[in-house]
Amino acid sequence: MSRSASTDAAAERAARPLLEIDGLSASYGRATVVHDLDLTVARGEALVLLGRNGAGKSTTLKSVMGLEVERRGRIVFDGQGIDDWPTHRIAAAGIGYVPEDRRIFAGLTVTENMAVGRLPPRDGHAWSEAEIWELFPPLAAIRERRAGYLSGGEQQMLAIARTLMGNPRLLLLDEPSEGLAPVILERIAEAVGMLKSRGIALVVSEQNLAFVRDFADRLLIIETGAKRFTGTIADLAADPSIAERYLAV
Amino acid sequence: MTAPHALAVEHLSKSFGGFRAVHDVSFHVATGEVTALIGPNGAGKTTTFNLVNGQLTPDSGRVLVAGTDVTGRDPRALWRGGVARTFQITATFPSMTVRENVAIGVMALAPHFWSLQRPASLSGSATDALLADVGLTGMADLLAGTLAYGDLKRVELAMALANAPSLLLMDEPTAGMAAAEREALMTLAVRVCKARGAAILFTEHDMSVVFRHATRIFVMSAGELVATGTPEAIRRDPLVREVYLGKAAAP
Amino acid sequence: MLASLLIQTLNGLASASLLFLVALGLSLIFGVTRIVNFAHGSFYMLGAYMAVSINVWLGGGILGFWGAVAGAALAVAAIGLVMELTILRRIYRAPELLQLVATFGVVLLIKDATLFIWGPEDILGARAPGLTGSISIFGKRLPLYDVFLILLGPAMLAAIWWLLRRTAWGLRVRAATEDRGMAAALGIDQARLFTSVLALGAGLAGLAGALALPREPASLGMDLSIIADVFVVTVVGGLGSIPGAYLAAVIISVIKAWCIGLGTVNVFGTVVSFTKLTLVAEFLVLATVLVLRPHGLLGSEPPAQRGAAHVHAPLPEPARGFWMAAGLGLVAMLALPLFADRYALVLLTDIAVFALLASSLAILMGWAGMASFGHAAYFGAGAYGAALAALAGAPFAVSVASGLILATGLAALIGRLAVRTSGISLAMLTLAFAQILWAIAFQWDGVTGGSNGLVGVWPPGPLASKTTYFLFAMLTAAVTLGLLWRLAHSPFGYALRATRDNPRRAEASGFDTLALRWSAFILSGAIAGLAGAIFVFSKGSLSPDVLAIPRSVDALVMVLLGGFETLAGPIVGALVFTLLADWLTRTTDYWQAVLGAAIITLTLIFPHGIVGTFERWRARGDRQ
Repeated sequence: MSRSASTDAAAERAARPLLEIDGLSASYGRATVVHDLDLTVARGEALVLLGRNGAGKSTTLKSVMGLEVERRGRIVFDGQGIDDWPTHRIAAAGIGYVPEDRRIFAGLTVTENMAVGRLPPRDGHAWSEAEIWELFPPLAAIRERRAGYLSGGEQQMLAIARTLMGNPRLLLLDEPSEGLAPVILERIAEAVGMLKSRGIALVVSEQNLAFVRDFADRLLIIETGAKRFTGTIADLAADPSIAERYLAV
Repeated sequence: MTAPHALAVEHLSKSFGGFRAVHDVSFHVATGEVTALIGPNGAGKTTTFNLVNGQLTPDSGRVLVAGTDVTGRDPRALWRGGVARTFQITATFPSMTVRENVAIGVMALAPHFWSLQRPASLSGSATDALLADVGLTGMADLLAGTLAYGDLKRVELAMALANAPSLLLMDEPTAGMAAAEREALMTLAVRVCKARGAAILFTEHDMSVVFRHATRIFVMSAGELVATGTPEAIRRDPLVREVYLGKAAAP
Repeated sequence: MLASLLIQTLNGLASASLLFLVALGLSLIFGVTRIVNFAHGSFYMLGAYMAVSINVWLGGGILGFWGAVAGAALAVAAIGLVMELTILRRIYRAPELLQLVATFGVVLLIKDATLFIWGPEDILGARAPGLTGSISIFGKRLPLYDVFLILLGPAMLAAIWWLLRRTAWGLRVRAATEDRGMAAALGIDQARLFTSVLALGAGLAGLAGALALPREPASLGMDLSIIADVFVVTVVGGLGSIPGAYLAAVIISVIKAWCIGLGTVNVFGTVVSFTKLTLVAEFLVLATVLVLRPHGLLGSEPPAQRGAAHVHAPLPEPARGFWMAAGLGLVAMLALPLFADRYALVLLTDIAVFALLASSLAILMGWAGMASFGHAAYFGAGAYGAALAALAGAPFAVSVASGLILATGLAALIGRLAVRTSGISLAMLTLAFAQILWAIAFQWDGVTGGSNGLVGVWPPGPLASKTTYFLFAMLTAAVTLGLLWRLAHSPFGYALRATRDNPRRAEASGFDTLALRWSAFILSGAIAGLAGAIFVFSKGSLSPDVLAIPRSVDALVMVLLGGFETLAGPIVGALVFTLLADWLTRTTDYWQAVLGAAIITLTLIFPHGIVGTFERWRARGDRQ
């Protein structure tokens, strides 16, 4: 009885989107940056938030993590309301966050940074260091180096790797392409694609459309904290005026 | 002998630890000219910018403003020498009104600093003229801390112009703004600087702003100046395409 | 000579170990929580008292002594844990100034609790069984216990290094110290981490207190005397640097030991007492390090934790009505002697004095954005300067001027060093300087009268009555405050607030921010000195208490109570505080505890300051 009830609940949960944001407003002090935003992310889906600097993309991601921003509205992850949870509990529930400026622990080595992010296995799997080295081969060679001495690209890889150690179901990537050389960009885009193929859902905030082309399932354009467009890359390509208006290409 | 350039940078180099951030960079900005310094992150443009504005002192090389060697002078001395700047994250005084913000720039030049009277610049014509130039006359009595970001940028512009500069340094002037606002701000900055005879050197990530407003562009990569030229020339330069614009410039 | 120097050095190393243990705890706590725990010295004191009681309870002997050391450390760790759970947890996002004040509330509570439980007398502790002997070095004796302490410091340094570098807990602490927001985003429960760090830090302080017993008795003054030393060590070593803390503890303790060891020496015919120069030496070390390395010997600028930017409220120009109201208020005040009795007049004079003191501090905090935690230094300098001149036979006006000049000079000297720092370092530094001055006043019997202070400092005939002196004090305060209010909207006042709002912008607009901050410091010190000079003549006597930490904190509480972002705020604060304190001291023997509890309650209810909290409430109301 109870077992079938829990199976039912599990089935019901599985049918719902992984992340549901309903009427989110976020502010810093008196300045409101995100206004009444709704969005959903399905299991295993890659959603890309497009928009210019200051459009509210980063703030949306921080709101999901409960970091450094005052927020109102409903945020449901895997069937549970998380909008009043402390940040660490949100992370433990399976949301990984890679911030825009990476925020690696500069005084810790690469492996120590990764160890900080380690959480118990989820769905029977825990990322091992070996798997990380496979995903980001350059990190393996510098595993004992202090993270403060890493290049921008290496830091970005480390920031993603560190978050993966928490075995997330949903990964929030904030402007992963920012300030990176094209060669590095391709490698990181490839890695992100690989993560998606392993079933990790993604919310990626970006300004660089080329970077997300290969893995984005759905695009959502935000301007001044509100949703302006949602569709696939093909939809966007079909109407060039949208990109012209909302993205500084 | 021609009139000295608004800014001349000669063989500037700067290292941090073993890292060569800027190596042997030379360029000049002519009087009244609008120029942009661009390059990918880590190219050394921020370091170069900070060497020019006095936040950093170069290991070697010189910085000349209107013919005077100002290498190693602090921002205060540079300001007195006719160099003004705006910041990437808009720097104003949030606890004061727009008028007070602008008046403070004028005040530092005024005598009677130690009087107990309210500052003359608060009702002075210099302040009024600056407010009118950037279109803030109507907002003069609002607190700077309550303004929208785009308006705040204009406040900062007026503050920067208070010392009647010969050179205005703008660090990513349009960061964090919507496209229409970006355009308006740069158009305004170029217009008021032209009217006052101030040259502009700015750094910027938004290429459309760079190509529309700069008459000359300096491109940096890996600490070195790799190209200088008009927007058309820079757009066509294959080297620039490779180091910076990458796919964004591709058709 | 050399042998005795060596012995003094070893002696200093032994003291350094204890100092380091306390500083270590403070640094660990500061690292992750960004709170400078004022109550850390109280933990040290509690460690000593608890060890005495536990030793007795265990029946003494080896078990008693070492059982007491362990027990005291554990008990104090538990108290630290409770403090984190009940108080600190609620104020992590509050401005750092308020955090310091809240932990000072804990200092007051613990002090009165200790007084209540153990009484006012010093209590001698047992010597360490098995370590009561001594070893001989070049014919000089060094107690075995000192050898034990000398080894303890480096051993604890190594142990903590191991804990931080080699354990999962240490890794979390290091990560949270760098960026606690990011650590949380990786699933680290900050609350549990902070609780554990606080328990460890408090335990270390308790351990140090228990281990100090064979060298010094448990006393009620231990808390503030060690905390001032620990602040010096932390600032000299570099905020948050653990090896830096050990290095600084060694340097300061050894220099102190040398000064004491040298004793009185005849230098070129002049008798110099080095024993009395210990505090001057400490002052010089602090000053030298700050000039050469503003972030301390091994420190660097601490990474700013995010989301804590504080925007100051505007300071609008007073309307005509404001001056009218102020004038009417003054007239009403001046008419008070017609109704008030002698007691009330003394209280009113105090209010005038403290209004000046609070306003002087508010200039620094409100206009210049610098929090002085040792403002009593200038108040006291003004009082001592005036009293010494008066006792030397100078006329009243000259005496007051002497106090003013001494305070101004001192503010110029300390301010020159202090303006190079900011935030929490500035607070610790100003407090350390004030404490050094207090100790000088306390020890320099020949000039300051030592702990007895100075007596017989009365104003001349026309001002001798309580009524006329009240009128004098009130008028002086009114004129000074009137001038200050004009200054607020002069070019200097604007420039100062510009420097506070955005120093980089102010520099880029041609202002010399360091010079402006220094001027504000000097001005503030001068006004505090004036307040002190008026104060001493109203009381007729003074003791080193005018310089002590509690006086500095009183001034802070007045300013926070009334708010420092309005012109009238500090005056209201001084009024409320003085009346409240007067009522409390007449009502209970444990008024410090009541005051402490009140401070803590206020900071818990108004975590962003009274004005700031109302602002937030209003902002929330606006959005809904």
